[in-house]
Amino acid sequence: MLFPTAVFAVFFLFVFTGSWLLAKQNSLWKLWLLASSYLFYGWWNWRFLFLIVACSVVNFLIAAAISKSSKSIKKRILLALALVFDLGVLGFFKYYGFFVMSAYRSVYSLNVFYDWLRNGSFFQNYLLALPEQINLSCSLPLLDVVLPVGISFFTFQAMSYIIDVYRSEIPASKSLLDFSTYLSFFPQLVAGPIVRASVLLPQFSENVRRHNIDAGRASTLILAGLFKKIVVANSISRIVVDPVFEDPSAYAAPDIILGVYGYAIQIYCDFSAYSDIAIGVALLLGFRFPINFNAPYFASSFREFWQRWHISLSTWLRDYLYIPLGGSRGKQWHVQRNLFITFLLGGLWHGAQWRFVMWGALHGSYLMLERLLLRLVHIPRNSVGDRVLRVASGVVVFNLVCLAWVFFRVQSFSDAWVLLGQLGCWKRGALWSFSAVFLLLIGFSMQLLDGRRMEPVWNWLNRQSFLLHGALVALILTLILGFGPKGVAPFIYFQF
Amino acid sequence: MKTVSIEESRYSANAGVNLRYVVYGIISFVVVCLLMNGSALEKNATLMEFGVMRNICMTAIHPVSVVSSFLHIDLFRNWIESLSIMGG
Repeated sequence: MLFPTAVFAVFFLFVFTGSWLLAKQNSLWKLWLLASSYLFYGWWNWRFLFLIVACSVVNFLIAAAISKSSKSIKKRILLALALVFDLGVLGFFKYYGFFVMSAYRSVYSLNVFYDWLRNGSFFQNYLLALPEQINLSCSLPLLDVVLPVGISFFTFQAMSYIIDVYRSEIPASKSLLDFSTYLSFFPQLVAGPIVRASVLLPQFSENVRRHNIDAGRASTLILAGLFKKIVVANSISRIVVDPVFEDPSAYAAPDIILGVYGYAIQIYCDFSAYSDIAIGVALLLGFRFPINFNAPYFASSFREFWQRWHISLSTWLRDYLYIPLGGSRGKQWHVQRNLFITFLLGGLWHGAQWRFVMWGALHGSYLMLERLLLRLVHIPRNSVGDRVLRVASGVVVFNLVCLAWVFFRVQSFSDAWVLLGQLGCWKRGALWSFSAVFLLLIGFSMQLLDGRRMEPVWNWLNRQSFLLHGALVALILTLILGFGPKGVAPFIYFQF
Repeated sequence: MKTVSIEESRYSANAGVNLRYVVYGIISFVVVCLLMNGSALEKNATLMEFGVMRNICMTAIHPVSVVSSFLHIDLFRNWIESLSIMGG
């Protein structure tokens, strides 16, 4: 069930009506939200409902045991148990095939290398070698595992909850209903934002004021999200990105550059659209989520980029990985190592493929280099030199981020090398058109709507009559549906 | 009982709308949206796979489409699609 579809619209009207009717009966209201979330998730594959139910029950019980326990060692064992469970679920469904294949390739390469050392017939054996010839005649223990939608998001939410309870930062939830609703809450279940238990769990309490809905903000976010997804991301994907990345060898440098910039805009518009719609939908149901994007391509440093891009993931990685590794404390070498490991694992979180690891490694390297450079260069703040440097570094950051996106988007490393190699081939671009450039500019400028920049519009909408507000939203939605291409492509982050 | 406030600062300045008015707003949105997109929805429903789901969608959308066409409100969506660089 994708957000920009009629099926979701009907589903949401159904959920909203129930939520409104049950708003004063807290337990029934939560039960309604849980049932709706399970229906939303089960729409893809009902079998995975068992997985999310198991995840909810196990984490709830272990968190309760942690909060009751007074012994530190017992708490640690329980924490380890919960983390093994959550990472085990994630590892099995997402990374099993990846690790088996990586192990196989490593053994294969070692065998080929050994063979070369012994016989000196590297090329013949490497090219012709079959698994049987290199003592790997047994079939690989690969399983045909289907990746459950949103598994990376809800396991990360469960882990953050368990760790927060262990650190005594939040109390363990006393209600399985509350916790299950938190973990499976449908607006953010599939592709985030990763909302912490400390933010969302208190909102299920009956003592929270939730009858004052910021409808102006909700409708603005939903419309902006639909525009970014349907009109900008889908169109850029069809006009520019897909042709270039499907066959990079067929295009010259101008088209490659357009395709790579196009993908940077597409992924921003696609993913921030999902976050915006999720935040807007949650707002209509009376929940407030933190923002997930804040004009990331306007960042003048990589550090700033990660404070603006997928904020819920970057803060998760900071709080539960980077800081426990040692964070910015200690020797320079240790800080650099912590940064690199965090981003390497952040890359792997996105997908069980080496190209995502490469993407993470590139970002880790950028941050390490930036840290080193900042130690060497000291320019007084707010001086002319500072302003010029900020603009220049913003351009460099954007281009290096785009370079990293290449590895994120390509199907294989060989495609990435071909694509980057084509940058040396200069002839007239076939994909350059007014509509392509216009869409890219529109997509880039959509960042101006991030954060609280649209607050005057929200407030203006809230002051209008409900009839005008509803009609205005319907009119803009019709414009979006009319201008967008036919059919709805899935959100890019659904695969994670 | 102590009330937990997780509202952002702007909510304290009555930035939101009462839930009841949001319901009216959504009803207004649904009516206008269906009238403007009735014919397009019916066109999409005809493209669905034959089966119960298609029959339900066709039955539900047809009256809306008829009203939309009768009032000529669907012309707006058609006009927008004709302008679109992606062909609607």
